[in-house]
Order: sequence, then structure tokens, then C-alpha cells
Amino acid sequence: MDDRSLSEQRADLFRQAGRMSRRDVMRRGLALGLSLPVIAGLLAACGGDDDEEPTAAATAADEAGSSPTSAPSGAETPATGASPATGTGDTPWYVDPAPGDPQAGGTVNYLLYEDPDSLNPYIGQTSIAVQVTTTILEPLAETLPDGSWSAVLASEIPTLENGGISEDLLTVTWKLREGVLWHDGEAFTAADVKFSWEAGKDVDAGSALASEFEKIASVETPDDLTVVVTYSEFNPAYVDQFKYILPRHATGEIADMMNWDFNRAPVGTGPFKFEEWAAADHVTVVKNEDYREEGKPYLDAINFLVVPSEESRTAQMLQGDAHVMLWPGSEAGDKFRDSDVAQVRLAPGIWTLAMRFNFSKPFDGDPGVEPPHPLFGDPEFRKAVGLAINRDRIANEVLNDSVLIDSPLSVGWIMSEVDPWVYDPDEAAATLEAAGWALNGDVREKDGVKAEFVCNGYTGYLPNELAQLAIQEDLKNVGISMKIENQDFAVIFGTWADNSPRMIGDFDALFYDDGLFIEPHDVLVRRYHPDMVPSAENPSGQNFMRWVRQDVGEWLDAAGSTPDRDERRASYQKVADALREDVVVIPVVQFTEGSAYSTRLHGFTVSTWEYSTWDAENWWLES
Amino acid sequence: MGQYVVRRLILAVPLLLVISMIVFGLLQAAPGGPMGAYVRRGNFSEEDLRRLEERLGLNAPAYVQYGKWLGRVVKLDFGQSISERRPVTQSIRDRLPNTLYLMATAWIVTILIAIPIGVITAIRQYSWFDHLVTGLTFVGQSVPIFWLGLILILVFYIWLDNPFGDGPLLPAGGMYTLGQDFSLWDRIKHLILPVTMLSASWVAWYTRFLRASMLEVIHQDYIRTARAKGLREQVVVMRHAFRNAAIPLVTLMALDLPLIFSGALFTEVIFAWPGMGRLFFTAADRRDYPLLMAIIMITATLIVLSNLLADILYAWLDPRIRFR
Repeated sequence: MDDRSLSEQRADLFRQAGRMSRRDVMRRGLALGLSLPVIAGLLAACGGDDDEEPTAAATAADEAGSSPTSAPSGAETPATGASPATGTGDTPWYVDPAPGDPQAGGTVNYLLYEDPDSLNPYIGQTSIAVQVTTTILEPLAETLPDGSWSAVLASEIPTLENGGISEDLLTVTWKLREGVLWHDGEAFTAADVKFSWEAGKDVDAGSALASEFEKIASVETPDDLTVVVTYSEFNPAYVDQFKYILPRHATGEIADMMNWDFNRAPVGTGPFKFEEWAAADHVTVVKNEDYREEGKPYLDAINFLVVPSEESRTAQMLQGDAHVMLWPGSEAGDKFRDSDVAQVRLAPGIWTLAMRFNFSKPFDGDPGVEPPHPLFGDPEFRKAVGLAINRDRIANEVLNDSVLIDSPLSVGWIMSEVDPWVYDPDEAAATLEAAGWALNGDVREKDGVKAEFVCNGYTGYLPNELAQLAIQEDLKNVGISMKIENQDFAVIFGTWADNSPRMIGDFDALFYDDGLFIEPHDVLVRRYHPDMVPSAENPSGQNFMRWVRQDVGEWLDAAGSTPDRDERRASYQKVADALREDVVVIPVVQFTEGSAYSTRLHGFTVSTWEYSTWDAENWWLES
Repeated sequence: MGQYVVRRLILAVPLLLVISMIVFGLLQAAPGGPMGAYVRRGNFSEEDLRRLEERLGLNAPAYVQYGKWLGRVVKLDFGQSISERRPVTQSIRDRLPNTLYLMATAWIVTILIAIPIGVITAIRQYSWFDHLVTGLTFVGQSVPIFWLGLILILVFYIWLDNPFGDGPLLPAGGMYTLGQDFSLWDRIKHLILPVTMLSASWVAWYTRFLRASMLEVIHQDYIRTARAKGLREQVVVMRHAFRNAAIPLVTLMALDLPLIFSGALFTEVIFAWPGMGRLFFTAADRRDYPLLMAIIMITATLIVLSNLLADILYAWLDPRIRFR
């Protein structure tokens, strides 16, 4: 095989990648054998073609990239609770432009690709299950698409101004909404919030979300509508703390949580009541007649149908039998592009694909930061790598459903802005020359060290692998040899105890996508704080890069000691600048996320921060 | 014969034990594990993962885990499914009736179609009907069934409309129409496409098998004798030829019985049928060892038992065979 045919093959792969999205791969298992080229044209009757014009998805994504999310400062609360702004079309997230007044009635068929595992979010694991539970259970507060908070079961968001949070930031007082009833008619009280905390923090009872509660010292309920949360240290995520409130009377003993009947037949306060779950077939939720908002929900019921075959889901959407299809792949997206029955609607995602360097010498049996990495210990070398990678090509030719991103912190309300990355292979080569990396054959060399390194990613995710191939080619052009070694998810994201390479520092470079949630502080500290280099003493540290800068630690600590978003944003900006300056992480693209919606379904907003059904009370069907 | 059956059953125990060890070992050796799903979520601290692992009993050495598993299984307790978070027996109990319903229907349809066609093609060898059936059975055997399933959806769900009302001719999936009262016709409508998909290759396979078997029998001396006695052709074919030709077919069908339990993944995936095939696949995908082990071991037991059943039926149908 000569070089030419190899690059032709790559070109083919790149073209394919244009038609792949991360969801394709997330569900690759269930699509087993069903995505063969043989079948690709099968549903051609439904329209759509395979030309290389940009998909609706890509276009929406471009818009997303050019108008960054502007988040209001501080923890603002719209007075009336959960009613998102109506769409103007100017937002990077999608707001349905409703064609008139909402119509009541109708049943929405919502297509899931697999069965939920448990409808108790504290023990459930799949993001499928939460799409369902979000219609039934409610949080104290939810996140609006712009990153601001909105009270749901609380009557207001606790802030410094309204006295909801104490001066020492350690006591948060929640005032609860009056007159809220559980679906079985019992009154919702502060005791339920306390109970949810007790269940949520109990790892031994099976809670999978216990880490979110670890900063809470105690929860007191001075009266039925007041919850006082005391923290052992300030938690910047204090608003995002109680996402699923459980009914104390309709669950059971916490120690027995794994066996609660609730797990398969939950009772909530939300706009929809649980009706029926036929395993692997459907979950039905019906209208909560006592819902607090007058006239809402508009729908009579939502059927969450489990349909594993993507072809079958697509066909049901295009026939108008189904109204929402969670995370369609781009093959399905192509079918929806020209359809007047269903369309894909997107919001910016939280996942950023990036390359990270190890600053410490790998394979020396020492997870610590010294001695420096023979290649990436040299700042000039990292800088040259940054100059050599053609990120535009990856974003626009190699991957679909994605937008360029300059900093891993350019997301959500932080939205740091850093010096843009420049693609300049000549400058890259010159930088390497100047730093003493001279060409020796195809690969550069300095003091007997060859410019060769291994890049680790995880297997089974084509966009990831294609981006790696593109980078490999870019680096080869400047005389750096990058070897791609991708491993199983469980290996690359393994734990300290598993001797996962990134934990114990046994790698050169890592390439994968990671995300930032609405409240990113803890994750940012774990990733970039100088004290967070993984070690036997600190096995949950995620500063895999072994990038140690004390000033970064100070900025992160400052950001974590105030609830004021403006102040925090300024601190994070410094961290983002330092990351850019030191070329610690080279972010490539951010993925967009969304679902396919029937053009008859209205009133919904696709949010980056909440599950697709977060505003189901506003959904309505046009007859 | 009773003694023979008892001996076979006793021998099955060590066999199943060895199978369980091998399967357990293979599952342990496969990369990844049940913790992968938690790691993937990304919001668990190292300590949480440790504790979860301990709670799920996944941190013990493989032989300890196997011992614990075996200790429970002899009490018919297959443990707690990791992915479904409830007892394995409940997960199976939810899916098994759906699978039996679909597979048994397909099986009966297959037999009803395959037997007459197999017999007719044999007694009318080289007729136009025989040629047609032979051609079709080759198609049925060689068409990938998932492709056939998608074609069925394309034709009967997308292209053809219901002439007596709104909507497509046949539904694209599911077992019944949600939100409607029970209706036999609705159930049948939902069965047609998946049963067609499943039966296509079974019918082809059984027809070919029965035809070959009939042809062999028809040329035996005793058939000529029967005809020479002046028996009616119908009696010759049905009582003398078919009965003997059916013996190997019965064996084949008995050996296929475990399939009715284990389900058919492709059919279930394409027609959104909540059956055992999908349960098994999801369990494998999520490395849900207790669930996987339960399904594999129940299937293995059924295979052992159906082999025994095949042997018993064989002896019962063919008096020349004696147990020793």
C-alpha cells in the first residue's frame, strides 16, 4: 500500500466522519449490524440525500459558535419560577417559535433507544432514565438555558442579597413553595428535602450521587417550608444541590433503597404522573391535574417508547407516529433535514474534544511531576505542536455536529476568551528548529531524543479516532511522529487503583472529550489545581497533565470562595489564559447536542444544561 | 428408560458446572466491567467508585465471586442485576413471556407452513412447485434477516397504507397499540412482521430438511411394499412415509427449543420487541455479570435438557432405538 492510497483512505474516512455524530457511537452497540451501507439507502423514500452540503445541524452549530452564551451575573431568579424566555431565534440554544396559543390535549410518543434502568435518579445510571424522571420528579431549582437559576420547588433562589446564604457562605436557607402536593395527594414539606439528602448521600444504600452531597454537614427543617443547609466548606454549586426531591412517605427505609417499589413506580410533584412501565417496551406518564401552573401541562400523556433500531425510530418520526427522537445520529439527521414532519433541534453541548500533554516524564514508575517530560517538558515544543495542528480542518472537514472552541473554559456562563489558536506549520517548524529540534530524516531529534510520542484515546468512538488521524498527519508535516494507541474506555478512564495510565502518569498525550457542567468549579479544581496531581494520597485528582502552577491554584481557590459569578468568571479567565499560554491542553471542538422533534410539537426549548424533558409542562401538540 | 433419564440428568450437573466456570472465567477476562458505566458518567469520585465496587462485590478475586455466585444459584437466587437494579429473576420474568409469545407463534407458523410444503415438494419432486420452493428456500436461507426486517418495515409501514382507515398498513414495532383496549386483531397486526421475519429462514430450513428426509424414505422398499399392497397414495405418504421422515425433524425441532427461550436479537431490535434477546444484549453491553450468567446458564440448561428430550423422542418414535 503506497502513501497515496493511504491518504485516499483517510479522505474517505473523513468524509464518513462528516456523517457520524457522537450519538452514533454512543449507541453503536444497539445499532449492531443495522448501519451497514446496504441499509443506508433503505429509507430513501423518506427523502434526504448524501450530498456534502452542510446539515441543518451543522448550520445551527455554526450559529452556536458565533454567538457565545451570555449569562446574567449573579444568581438571578425570574419571579415566576419555571417559565423560560420565549424564543427570538437569537439564542445559541433552540427555542421553539410557537405558531399561536398552546392547544391542550394529545399524547406525545417519545422514542428512547434503550430501557431506563431505574426511575430513582439516585441509583439510576443511564441518561435515558433521567429523561423520564425529569417529567415526574422536581428539583428545588433548575438551570435556564442561559445558565441562570429558576426556583421550582423552592419559592426563591437563596442569594447573599435575600439572606438565603449566610455571610460566611456556609449556611444556605431554602424557602419552599407553598401548597405543592405529591401525586398521591400528600403535602410536600421540608422533611422531604431532608429525606432526599439523607438518601442521596448514602453510598451504602446505593446512591450514585453521594459525592454531590459531601460538603453538606447537616440539613435542618425549622418548619415545614424552610430548609437550612449547613456546609462544612463553601459549595459554589449550592443552588444545583437538590436536583431530585423524593417523597419520604412513598419510598421506604433508606438502607433498603435498592429495593424500593418507588424505583419502578415513582411518585413526584412534577407536571406528569407515573402511570405504567412495561420493561423494555414503554413508560407512560400522564397529566398531573393538580399541577401548580394553571392549564399546564398541556399534554394528556407522554409515552416513552423503547425502540432500539435507529432506522425504525427514524421511520416512526417521519411517519408522524412519534414526536421526539432522543439524540438521532447524523444518518437520521440527514433524513430529517428536508422533512416537514420532523427536524433536529440543537443546543451547544458540554463535551469538548481536546489533547492534553504530560508535563512529567512517563514510564519512570513515578507518578510525580519530576523529572520533566523529554518532549512536553519543553514549552517551545508544546507551542510548536499547537501551531502545527489544523483545527479548522478537524472542525469543518473531519467532524460534524461540532464547533471550534479555543479554551476548555469557553463554555456556559464562564465563557472565557483566550488568544485564538493559529495554524502555521512553517512557524511551528521554525520554533522547533530554534529550540534545537533538528530534522533527522522524517523525524526531528534533540540531544538524541527523537520527537516521537504516543497519543492515547479510547476505542470505539470514530470522531475521536478521525481527529487523531488528522492531528497525526499535521504533526508529521513538521517532523513530529505521533503514534495512536487507543484503549478500552475502562482502561483510559480507569482509576488510580486500576493503574490507569493517565492516573499514574504513564502516557505522553491524551486525546478524548470531557465536559463541564453548569457548576464547573469542583471539576476545574480537580483538573487544573496544582494540588490535584493524582497520587496515592490524592487518588481522585485529575491534573493528569501534572501541570503545577501555584498562581493557578490561587485563582481557582479565589473563584471557589465567592458566589458572585462576575468575580468567579474573572478568576477562571486567568486560569484559561494560563492554560493557553502554557499550551497545557489543546481544545479542538465542542460537540452540539439535541434531539429530533415533530414539527407538530411546540413550546419546547433545547437546553445545554437540563434533560430534554425539563420543560415538558410547556409542550403542546398542534392538531 | 427411567434409569437412563436419571443417569443423563445426573451427568448434566458436572457438565453445567464446567460450563458455568468457563463462562464466568470468560466474562471476567473480557475487558471493561460493570464499573465502566459509572466511570463513564464522570461524576463519581474515586472513593465512591471504590465503595460501589465493594458494594457490588466486584473487588473480590474471581474465584471468590464465582463461589458466592454458585452458593446463591443452587438456592435458585441469581442475584441482583447491576444494570436493572432489581433481582435478575424479575428482569427475566418481565421479558420471558414476551419472548415465548413471539417465538412460539413463529415456531408454530413455521411448522404449519414447512411440513406441508416439505412433504409436497418431496412427493412431487422436480415439479414446477418443487423448483419454485427450492428457489425460495435458498433465498430464505441466504437473505440476512435484519435486512428482511427493514424491508418489511419499508413496505408494510412506510409504503403501504391501511385501506380501511388512517395510518400505515402494519405497525413498525411494539407488541400492541398503547392506550387502546385489548384487541386480538391489534395483537395479530403487531405479530405479522416479526413472525414473518423469524419464520422466513426457519421455514426455508425446515422445508429443505423435511424434503430431503422424505425423499430418502420414499425410495425405501417398505414404501414400495405399501403401494404394492394397494394402499391409497394418501395413506402411503402420510402414515408410512411422513411418519418415518418426521423423526429427524422432531429431533431438530427439539434441539431448537432453547431458541424459544433465548429470543432473537435482530427481530427484537428491529421491531422494538421487549424480549430476551435484547435483555441479553444489554446485559452483555453493560457487563451485567449476574444477569448474563443467569441467561447463559438457563440457556445452557435448556440445551442440555432439549438434547435429552431429543434423544427420548427419537427412541419413542423409532422403536429400533433402545436405551442402554
